[in-house]
Amino acid sequence: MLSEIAKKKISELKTKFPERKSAILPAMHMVLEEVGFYNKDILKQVAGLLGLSEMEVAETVSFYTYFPKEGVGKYHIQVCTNLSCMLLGAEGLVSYLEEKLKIKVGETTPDGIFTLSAVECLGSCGTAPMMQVNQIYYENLNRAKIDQIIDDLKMKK
Amino acid sequence: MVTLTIDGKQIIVEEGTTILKAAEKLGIEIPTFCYHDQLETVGACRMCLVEVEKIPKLQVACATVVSEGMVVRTDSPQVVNARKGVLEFLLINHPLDCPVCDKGGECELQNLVFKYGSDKSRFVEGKRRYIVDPKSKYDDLAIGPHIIRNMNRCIQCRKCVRFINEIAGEDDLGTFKRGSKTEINILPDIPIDNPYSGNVTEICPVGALTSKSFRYKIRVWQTEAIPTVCPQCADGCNIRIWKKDERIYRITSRRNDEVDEGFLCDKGRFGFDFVNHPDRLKNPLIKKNGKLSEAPWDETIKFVTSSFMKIKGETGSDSLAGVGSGKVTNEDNYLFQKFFRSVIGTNNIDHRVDSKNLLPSPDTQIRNKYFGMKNTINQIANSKLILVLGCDLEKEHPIINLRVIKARRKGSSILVANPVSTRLNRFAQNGLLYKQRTETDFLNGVLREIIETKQYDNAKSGFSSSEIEDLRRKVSSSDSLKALQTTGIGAENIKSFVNALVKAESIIILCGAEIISNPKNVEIINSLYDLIRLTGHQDKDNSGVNLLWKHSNSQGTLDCGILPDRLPGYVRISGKPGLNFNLMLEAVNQGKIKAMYIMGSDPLSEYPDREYVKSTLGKLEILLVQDILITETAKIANVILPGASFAEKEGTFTNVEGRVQKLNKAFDPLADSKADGQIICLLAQAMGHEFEYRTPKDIFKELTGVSPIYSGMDWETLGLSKKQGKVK
Amino acid sequence: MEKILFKYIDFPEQYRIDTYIKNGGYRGLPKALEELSPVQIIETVKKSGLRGRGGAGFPTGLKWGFVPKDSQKPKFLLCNADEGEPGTFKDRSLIENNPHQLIEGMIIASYAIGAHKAFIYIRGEFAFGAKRLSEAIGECYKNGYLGKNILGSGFDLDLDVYRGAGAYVCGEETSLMESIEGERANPRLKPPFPASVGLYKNPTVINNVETLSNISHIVLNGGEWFANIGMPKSTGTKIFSLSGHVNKPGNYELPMGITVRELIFEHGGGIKDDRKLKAVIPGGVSTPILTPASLDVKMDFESLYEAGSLLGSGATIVMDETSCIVKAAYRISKFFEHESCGKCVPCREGTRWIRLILERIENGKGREEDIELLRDICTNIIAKTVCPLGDAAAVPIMSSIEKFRDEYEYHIKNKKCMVDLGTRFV
Ligand SMILES: Cc1cc2nc3c(=O)[nH]c(=O)nc-3n(C[C@H](O)[C@H](O)[C@H](O)COP(=O)(O)O)c2cc1C
Ligand code: SF4
Ligand code: FES
Repeated sequence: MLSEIAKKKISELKTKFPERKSAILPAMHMVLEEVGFYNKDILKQVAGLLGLSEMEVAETVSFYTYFPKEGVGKYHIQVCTNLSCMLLGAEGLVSYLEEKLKIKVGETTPDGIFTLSAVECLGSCGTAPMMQVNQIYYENLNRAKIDQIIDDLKMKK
Repeated sequence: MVTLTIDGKQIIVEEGTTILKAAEKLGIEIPTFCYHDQLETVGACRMCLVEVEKIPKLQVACATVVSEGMVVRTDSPQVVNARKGVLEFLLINHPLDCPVCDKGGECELQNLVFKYGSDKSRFVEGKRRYIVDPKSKYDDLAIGPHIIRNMNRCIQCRKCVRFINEIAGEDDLGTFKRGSKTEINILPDIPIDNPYSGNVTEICPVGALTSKSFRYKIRVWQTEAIPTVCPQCADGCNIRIWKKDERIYRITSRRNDEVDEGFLCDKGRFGFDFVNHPDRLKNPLIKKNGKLSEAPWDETIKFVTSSFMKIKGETGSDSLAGVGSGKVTNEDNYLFQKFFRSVIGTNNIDHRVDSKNLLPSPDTQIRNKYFGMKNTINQIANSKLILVLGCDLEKEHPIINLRVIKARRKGSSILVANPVSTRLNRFAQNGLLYKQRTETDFLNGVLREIIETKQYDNAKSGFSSSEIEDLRRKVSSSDSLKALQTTGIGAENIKSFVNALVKAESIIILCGAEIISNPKNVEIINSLYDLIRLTGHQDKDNSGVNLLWKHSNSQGTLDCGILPDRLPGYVRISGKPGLNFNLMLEAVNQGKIKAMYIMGSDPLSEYPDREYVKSTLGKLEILLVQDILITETAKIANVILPGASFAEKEGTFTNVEGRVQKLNKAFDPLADSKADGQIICLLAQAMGHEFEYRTPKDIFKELTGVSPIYSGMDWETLGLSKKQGKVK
Repeated sequence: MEKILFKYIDFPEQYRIDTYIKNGGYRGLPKALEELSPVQIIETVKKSGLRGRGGAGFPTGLKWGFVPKDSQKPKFLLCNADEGEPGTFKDRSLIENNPHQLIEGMIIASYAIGAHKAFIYIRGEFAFGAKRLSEAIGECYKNGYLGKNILGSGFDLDLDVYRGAGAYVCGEETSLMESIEGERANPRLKPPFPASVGLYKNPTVINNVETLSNISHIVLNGGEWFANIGMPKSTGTKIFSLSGHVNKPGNYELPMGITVRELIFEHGGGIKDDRKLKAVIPGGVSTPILTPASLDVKMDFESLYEAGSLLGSGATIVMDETSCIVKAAYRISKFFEHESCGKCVPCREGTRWIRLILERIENGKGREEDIELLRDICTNIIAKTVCPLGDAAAVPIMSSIEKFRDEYEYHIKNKKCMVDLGTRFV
């Protein structure tokens, strides 16, 4: 799954920190960038490249929620539903997206393009409601903006 | 020293003591879930919260270190409420299935709820479930050959994972996810299968991890726990047998910090099947017309003794020989040698059936080179460097192996040198593989490197310069230089090996079976002594050369004189020594030995040359085998006497470090079998000798009178308390 | 008054090193390296009265002073850019728009405590911020502000960005260290404190982005200058992240001690759609909720504490009359359940239980006794957990019951909200 370049980059992380385990999160960020998700085999590969045991890598990775698992769509739409966004209509935003994408929160469209998640505060409360699609923030959202964003993403595929 | 007050009582404790430990000294119990004195303190369960004057928040007793003048309350309403709170939190998601839970009766949560909890639940929502199989309402999951997990009962103290990581040095059990979804699990399809896995069932305070072999067989309160000693290896772990009627249901640890620190290996914990095995010998058997058939005891005893007397009368006492075993008790062995020496009249006695290369017998006065362990098991964890040579430590001595891992955890260096890689190598700073049988060449190379680079400790070594010169010459000869090349170890490796050795503040060397039965065993051991001396460690507490015997009572068997040239306590035979096992075999082939009595040993499986033993023993007129199962050797015997297993008798075992520990009888010998000592008495009596012992205690008393190294030991205090006898 | 941290926040390309320098940047650093000893810098920071902006308000100079001077061990400086407290978005702005201000502060701080290795731990979601920081760090290496022999002073420092991965608890200082060490980020027991046993068991100082961004200004203008801004015990300015039902949400850098009213009505432009104010959370969702009765409370560490709340991160969430307190509490409880690390019992089990009860009440299945039960659960969490996340989860619920008990009662009795929430998404 990982390209040779990514593999090389990950194994270089092995000596970057005073302790090897420190390289787990940086390696997973590389995995996210390169593959977009992780699975059992990728964890195994990362462990091998870092000279760690599979267990060490799996335990640590399972603690964090940022790395999507295999099965996530090409575009991972994460809507902040925490308090500030909720006060300004995050729930409406979620249902609008559900309606538009014809999936429920936690699901992926059958074509594998979109996954919709409701997430915790993304540090953008002053521009609520907002969402993150893969690594990009979209803020001060309303229906018109959502229509535009989804259409653009669909075009790009 | 620090003075503090707990619940109004004053106590003085050492600096660095925790409140929990200080309270324990006062007999004040503070409840805990996540605390375990062998594991790093995590302070996670919050059950041990106590009030400390002048600190506004309650503090965890397990991790809070005492300070001068501290005033602690463990019984204030605030503390009691906090405990109640924690218990309530743990219970809201804990299934109320105590009546069916296997841990019922010995569950720490159940016990503490009885003590502090309220029985009214304020929790009305659905309990958290970790669904393993949506079709089953039991969320049991086999996570290894021995272990069943039920995550719903887990209280997340993580003692299991911490044990596996910290003590066993493994990582086949882990913690996943976080928060209220936290889960203890294995990796998909990688079962927990390390030799210490069973400990997690004991360390788990609740019924989340239970043992496959015990669960649902019986309720603990229907069983009786008998304190005794593990028969599986020479480490001598203290155990409890949980039995009902004539059956063992499980074995658990009976913590002894000098020996096992509360842990067992899976073989010791789960490997008791042989006791209740359907193939156990139940009656004496005599071979008639080439077929073994059952015979009554009196007939068998008569047959054996008349055969022995006939042979003795015809060709003399030395036509008989006795083979004892490191697997039976000191009392059995003591009687065995007494039977041969005083009833038969021969010194043809041995027990070392697994090697052609026997070590010289030790002498009484000194802790001789060939004695066993110089150090105690506990000292191992204190040594700064441990060299494991010719030993698969995890397999041969699993509990000593844990001490080595502990030393590693405390920062000691581990060196391992073996013909093949062992699992301990993963902890080794240096893991060398030498070609089999090149130990002496390898060690000469090591000594040479130390001497040539002048890295020895001249002052402390006590070597005179001429001695050093002799040694130097020996290890630097062209022969030894050439030999070094055959070891397969490069010069660089020797260098870094030596580097570690000369730097170390203390060195403990552990040698296993590969060294003990090595053709060059004496030479190897001498080199190791030279090594300890050269590095200046010969008189130090946490340094020394240790030979690790194989069987649960190997040390005791030596101590009790199951040797052709030593009486109990290594008293030299005044006259001509008897034959050792190898010479016995020769004598059989020469027709000089006609009868052999083998108690508890199985030379056909243990001797390096099976066919040779088989054909040799086949030539005997009488081959008497006394054992609990039909061993390979028993299959070719004329007479078989059914002995009792370790669970069926009283007596003592002397472990590898010379600790004499008591075995207690869990139940009577199976069917018509008898304790080995009792059988010997019957034989002796039938031959007109007064072997009148009421119990093994009488035998032990006689032994302590006869053997200088056991003198002064007291049967009553052996084993039951921590005050076991220690070989002097 | 003149802004300090935000003075150039909207300046085009302030994130670039040359712009930063043109606007007066990298002046504090040479002064620190050339004119001041580490001890003098710590003294200056002490004199400034600067207190941590990450939430707890611990005096920064004092914290730096705890690092053992004679220790041979390597020392570390960590910048806490995990900004996860709901309602807070100030550090993100400081990072994205003025990364060099932070870096300059970090170099000075490292010099003061004797660290040669520093990390910025930034939450995983801030991918853009992480990129900005990495680029800025690259510029620094190129221009001699980082690496060996910084500005010819003989002082060496390596600085790295370390990205988190979606765990609020990593903002807790010891979890953050566990996280960098590659472990499951469970908080550690204290003592030992990070100043003696921190990252990789070495002496470590950890500070918030805003805290560190102040350093170069303090070094440049002196401790007294800073101490004269704001309140006597809460000196300097504070960035308030204003969100919720206000007309002009956003970050406002204002002197410590302005009132809640000033913040909401003068700077935030008042309540949206001219509705009435119902409640204010002054320091992020982990701080106790306030009612309009507290509008004239000053926003600084002491005053808010006296008013029964906390300054926290300065994230002010405004709720108008159409907000349901029970629903808000439920949402907050979901957050803490999700973010509890699971190490200690009261937090792991308590946060879930609170959420279950609030969910039930929210769904019209509340029971009268639930209110007391919630209070009991909160009591059994507060001050009994390993790290302050437990308190953070319980305190706001407790305070919402104290201040808005009638809403809970109404909800339970009538199985619905007291107010008409309407829909906000258009
Ligand atoms: C659960 C929890 C989350 C925290 N999150 C953050 C955070 O995101 N950013 C931050 O700077 N401090 C956070 N803190 C506070 C830090 O633990 C620490 O006090 C702070 O980084 C110290 O820096 P300061 O003294 O400059 O404020 C958090 C604390 C807790 C208990
Ligand atoms: S309070 Fe919560 S987050 Fe903190 S240690 Fe306990 S379980 Fe973890
Ligand atoms: S025993 Fe102290 S917190 Fe668990």
